[in-house]
Amino acid sequence: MLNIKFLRGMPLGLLIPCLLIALVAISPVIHLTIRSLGADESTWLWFLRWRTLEIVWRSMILATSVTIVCISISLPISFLTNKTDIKFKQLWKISAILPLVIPSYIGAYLFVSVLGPKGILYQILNTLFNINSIPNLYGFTGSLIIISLLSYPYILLTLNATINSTDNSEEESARILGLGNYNIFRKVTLPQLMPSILSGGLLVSLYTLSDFGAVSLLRYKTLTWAIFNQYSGSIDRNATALLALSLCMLAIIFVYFESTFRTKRKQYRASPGVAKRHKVHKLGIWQIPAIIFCGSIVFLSLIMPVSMLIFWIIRGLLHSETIPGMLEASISSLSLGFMTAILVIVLATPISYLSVRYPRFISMFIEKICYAGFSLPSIAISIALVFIGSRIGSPLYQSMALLVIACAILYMPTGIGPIKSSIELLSPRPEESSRTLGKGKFTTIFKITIPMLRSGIFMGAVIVFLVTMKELPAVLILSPLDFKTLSTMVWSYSTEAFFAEAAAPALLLILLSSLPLTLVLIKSSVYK
Amino acid sequence: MNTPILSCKNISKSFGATKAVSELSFDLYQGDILSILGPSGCGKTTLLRIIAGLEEPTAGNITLLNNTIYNGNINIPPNKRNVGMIFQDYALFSHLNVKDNISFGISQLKSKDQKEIVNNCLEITRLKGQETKYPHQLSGGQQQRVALARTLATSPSLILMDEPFSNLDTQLRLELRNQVYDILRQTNTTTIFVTHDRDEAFVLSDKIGVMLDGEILQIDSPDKVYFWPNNKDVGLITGNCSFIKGRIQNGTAITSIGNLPLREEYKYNKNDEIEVLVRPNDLLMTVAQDGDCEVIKKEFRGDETLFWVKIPSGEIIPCKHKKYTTLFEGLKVNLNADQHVKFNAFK
Repeated sequence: MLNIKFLRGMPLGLLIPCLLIALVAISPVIHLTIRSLGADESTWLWFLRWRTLEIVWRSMILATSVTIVCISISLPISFLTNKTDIKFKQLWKISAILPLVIPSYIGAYLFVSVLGPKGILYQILNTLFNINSIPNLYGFTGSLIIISLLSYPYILLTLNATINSTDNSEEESARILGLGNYNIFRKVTLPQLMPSILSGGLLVSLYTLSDFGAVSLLRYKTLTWAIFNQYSGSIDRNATALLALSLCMLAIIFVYFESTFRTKRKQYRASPGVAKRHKVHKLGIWQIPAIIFCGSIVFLSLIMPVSMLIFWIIRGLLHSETIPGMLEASISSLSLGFMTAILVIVLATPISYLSVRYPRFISMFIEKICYAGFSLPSIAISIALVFIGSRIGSPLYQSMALLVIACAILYMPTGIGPIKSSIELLSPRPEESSRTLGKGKFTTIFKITIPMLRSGIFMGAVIVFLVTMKELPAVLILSPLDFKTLSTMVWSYSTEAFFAEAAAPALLLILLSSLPLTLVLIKSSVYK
Repeated sequence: MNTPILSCKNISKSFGATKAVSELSFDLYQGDILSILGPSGCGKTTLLRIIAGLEEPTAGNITLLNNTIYNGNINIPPNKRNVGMIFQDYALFSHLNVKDNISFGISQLKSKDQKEIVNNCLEITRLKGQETKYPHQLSGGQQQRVALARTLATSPSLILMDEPFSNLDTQLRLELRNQVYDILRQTNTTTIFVTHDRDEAFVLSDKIGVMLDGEILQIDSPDKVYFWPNNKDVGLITGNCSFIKGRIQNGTAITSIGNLPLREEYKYNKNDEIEVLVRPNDLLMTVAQDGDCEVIKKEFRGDETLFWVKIPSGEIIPCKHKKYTTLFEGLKVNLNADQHVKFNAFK
């Protein structure tokens, strides 16, 4: 029962903390807006140049192209691995998701290490054929290839989930009504999949917009690059704020675009009971092209990067280069992840509880605000927090606390996801039972609600923990002096073209990041 | 017996524009089992939740053991009311075992006392030996009994049960219904339970409150609500029936199947247009070639066979016939009033 009435029945003890959390979550954007409005005429003139438009245009065109490429990679893979008799189906299913664990800056670094001016390809060609120049694949092409290959799984995941949960009966009805394969796909299957293509596509475009590591390494001058340069090279903070705000605006435009194009129809199974098995299309002679397609995508996006990392490590060892000490950076990464996870749990649990149990206008509003971190680029949020931090000064400025807060704002949605869905599954009856058995509100929360949510909370914590470790721009901008994580290690080595040194921390980071995905995959297969 | 345990006065509850409960009043005495019988969505669960304190009424007064637990100013929270509630899905705490579920509400007591109460409750509900099991390891019936034991442990002044047997299959439902009945009687527990199953209400309760659209239409003993319903709706909710149009003459109802004697005939005036309530057992059916009624449908139900008979005025009424299970559709019959039956009629 959706009862949109202001505050009705909503406990203030829950609402007020949630409002405060939402305020913290939105504070970066507010700050950027205030700063931008405070910019003087010369800053505005600087901002309103043709060059700025070019930079914005690059960001937009890259985000759009990556999204289109990702859709055209993931739609066939999803169809092949769910609806056909392709050989090694399970292998493709899992390995096509795995590139998700490779951060784009690692992908870009490997790309540079092979195809760059001093890269392996050049060295080989130079030694063997004495060729002195190779085509420049930096910039747009390189960025498009790398980001697409590493982010298409976002669409694939949502597509797979939809394909597996939608009922086959609509397609069967269409067949009985006399439609052929092509028309069934166009008129039934595609409309069913459209919402997940759009929402997966939105994820990819937001990811691309906020990508900083890959575009910087590949020297494609997008907004994130401009923001970082402006931030590190200039003292005009209002100018940086203007750029960061325009990046946020761009992200909001993409969110808006998706929500207007999304068909309003809800996805649900019309017939009760378990979804029926899908009709398996026989591939026949198409078996080999299908395998080649899936195989090459998996090779390019997963096998090649990982084996190249191993190659770099072995080569480094053979040239008796020492593997850089990673203990300190690992501890920093782990502790950053740990603290962020704890903070996110503390913040996300009340927010999720409020929005599930009291679905009113204000709680929806609070939840939407807390999702801001999801759509707003991390570089913009970090910049805003640096400004806020320096305004407040010590003890916040350049402190670990500020970095943890930034990561918590960024990854709160990641935590809200699993916590919210476990609250949705939790019937309010046990809590009410506890009340009728004589227990007060707080006793009930600590003895019933939280223990019953423990697996969802744990899940949320683990995922936040591991995605935080990959975070690059926030750590670069907000970290205390001399604070080094695995991600910044990879970054600093690869920007200086120490490819062998960057390999070990990169591989460690990938291994650590693949844990949450394994966990999610195991969990989803257990609950099937 | 003189002061009621629970007294509800003019309770109303609206959700936005819809009224779930309106102007509802009743009293309940020590040891009484009251069932609230009504179709889905009539507001019966809302009523229970209001009494438990889980829902705040829009208006009204509730007193429990002479203490006001709700009026416009006072609203005692559910944990201070000493009212037990058993939910339709039992709402057991899945992270606690049977013993901890039962002792949950008495954790403030000394552990020795807790143990004694838990043991006692385990005994009453026949759950000995299941103490260390978790809810998901129990059968539906056992879960139900844990919910009951957990509530009994807090010795509430009143237990509320929301469709307690609806999640069980027929066989188990009958068995558990009797067990629960015995436990409630044995512990002399005052109980309100909500159901849409009239058999359940008839078997279990001292009193039945028939509820429709947020109002209690009649509270009476089971036989009264069945035989002497206050109005047509109560008649329909409490059993199979149909209505025959008629007119009053000399204290009887003149209908198309003859004159039907009326209960409380003094209430009617001559020539009143009325509708007579007919239950399946009220009329005797005899096969006659020149009969003016016709069997139009036969429903075999195992223990009984129900015939739907069209009478001369075109109305279709249910009839039972013990002998003629071989009667078939299209057969001509005569219907006569049973001499012992006095009919209820409504204007």
